[in-house]
Amino acid sequence: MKDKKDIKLKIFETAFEMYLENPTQFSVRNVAKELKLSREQVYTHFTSKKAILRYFYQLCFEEYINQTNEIDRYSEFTLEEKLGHLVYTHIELFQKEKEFVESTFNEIIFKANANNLFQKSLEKQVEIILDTSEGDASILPKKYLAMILVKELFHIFKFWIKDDSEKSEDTIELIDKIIAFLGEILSNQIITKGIDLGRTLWGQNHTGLAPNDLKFLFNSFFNRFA
Amino acid sequence: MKSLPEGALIRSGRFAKAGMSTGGNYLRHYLGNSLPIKNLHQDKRTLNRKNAVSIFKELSQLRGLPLKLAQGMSMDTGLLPIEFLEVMSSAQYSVSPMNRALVRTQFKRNFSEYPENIFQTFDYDAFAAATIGQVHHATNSNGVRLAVKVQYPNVRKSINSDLKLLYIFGKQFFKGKNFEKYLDEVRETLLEETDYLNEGLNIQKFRNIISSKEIIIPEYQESTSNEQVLTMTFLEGDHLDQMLKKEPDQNIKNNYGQIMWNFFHENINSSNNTFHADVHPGNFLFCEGGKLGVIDFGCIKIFPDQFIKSCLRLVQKHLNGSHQEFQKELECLGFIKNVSDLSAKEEKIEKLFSNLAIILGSIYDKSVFDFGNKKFREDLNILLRNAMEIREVRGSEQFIFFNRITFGLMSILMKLEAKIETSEARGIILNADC
Repeated sequence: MKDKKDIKLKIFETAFEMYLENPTQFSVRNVAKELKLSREQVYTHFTSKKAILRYFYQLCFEEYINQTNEIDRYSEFTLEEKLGHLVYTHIELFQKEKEFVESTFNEIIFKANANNLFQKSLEKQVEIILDTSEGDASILPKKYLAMILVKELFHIFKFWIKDDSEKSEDTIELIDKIIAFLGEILSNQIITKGIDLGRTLWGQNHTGLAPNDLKFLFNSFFNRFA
Repeated sequence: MKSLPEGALIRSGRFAKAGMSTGGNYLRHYLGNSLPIKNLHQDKRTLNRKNAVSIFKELSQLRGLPLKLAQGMSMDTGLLPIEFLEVMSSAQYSVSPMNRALVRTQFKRNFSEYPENIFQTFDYDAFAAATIGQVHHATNSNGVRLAVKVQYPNVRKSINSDLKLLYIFGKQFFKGKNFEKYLDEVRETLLEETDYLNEGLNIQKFRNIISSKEIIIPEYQESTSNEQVLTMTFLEGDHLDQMLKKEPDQNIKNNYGQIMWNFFHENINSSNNTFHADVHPGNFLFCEGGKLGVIDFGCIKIFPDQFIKSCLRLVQKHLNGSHQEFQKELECLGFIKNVSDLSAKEEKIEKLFSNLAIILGSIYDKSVFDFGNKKFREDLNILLRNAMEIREVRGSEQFIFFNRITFGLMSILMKLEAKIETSEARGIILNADC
């Protein structure tokens, strides 16, 4: 089992270096050649050329988990602190290979099929974090909330890629403010109350809107997240 | 999108919010006036308190300049009702803190290490908030207790955007063409304060300048400091309010007051005109054995030689009782115009300065001055209130921090109600070569 992971890592490292040196030279054939493997052997570990590069992000996520386990009093962290830790740590890890992230993030993560392992791992982790909180975060469908948050997280990463302020101070401040805002929403009951209000309006027809209008309103609201 | 987090507009929203809820409280007060209220005076007091709480709540949530303003207002200058001061000074040491995750990343990005890998122990819960950063307990590998100051993210940018706002508001309030010049002085000094390496050098500089054994200055720890993280040894002591709560003996208060008084007057003698320019109670610790701890060296002013000399000349002329020459010095400093033929307005300003000189001069009249003197405090308050009516900024921009030092010192000494031996200081001033 360990061997398998070793080979996988070896393939990634070779591919990663090859890509950084010259992206046009990077291909499964060249990686296989370099490692004296067959292309089929490479494909047993990665489904595609992009998947090899995408493994970088998965490694960052695993490193984040390792670091999290090393924090003494992580369980005492608040919801905001846990979310903050997740974002900051990824940015710290990305920072080490900023050039690589700059040239690959949009193509192989942001625009990619949401079923990739990195995105799924993040969603799972955000779900776990949300699980530990009280307030609205505990009654909303966490799976969907996590999906939305991870999508937002990707926007933050894109902001960071373009951020040219010293030591990415702009990004750090933005994250701090977004998470504080999010924490405020998730720890109170604004959404529950909103739904409650909606139900009352619906039931008493105070809105003066025909059911069709309301349906249109909800659809346009939810389509934004679809 | 990019300017959003530190955008002036968002912050101005908070300024406006603070202002608006004050308006709301006063509105309630005036509406309440038409109702039969038995104790109007008492009512006004609670109102002031409400206002103070709501203003401070808004301002103190903004790290950086607004907090500085709040602190400035909380100095007992007589411009604000006493209830404001109570609330503000109690809130003076608490700003919304950076959370643990943010502190971690601020470290990582500055040292490539997390705090627990740099220090033997590090307490993630800050024990104090400074204007542009927060302070944590830590110990180094030798077990020495440390105070580690970590800066809030993007402070420099928010200082710039806050000052733009202040410019817009200030221009409405103050006449005078050179309002910008004064703001530039503030900006420069505040931005300097955001460089913690500079503050480290200041600490070392003051450890060299200050010879008094009654003053304790922390040791700068260079290896664990950089622009945004400042490490120094931890000083144990009480803040002013904590100390006063213990109802100390008059002798103890006199002693602390005298040390502080000497600390600033000795600066006049030190050849390089270097002054600690952030004189507010949070920056001083009242330590055991009657020693005074000075803990914040971010805001240091090196005044131009000419400036210090002309200030000294002004005081000399007053203490020597030569009023005409005193007036001439005022003209030289740019405070009054055309001294030989004063207009009504200039006369009003001249009168103000003469009165200020009489009040401040009274400190040096006898060998001991009692800062607990109620009349002194009232006179000063009335004078400062009158000064605000002029609504014009004049004179050298150096006076911004010079005044902060002078009135900051007065304010602390008045709170201490200390009796101060002033004859030596009088000697320093009168014998100064200027």
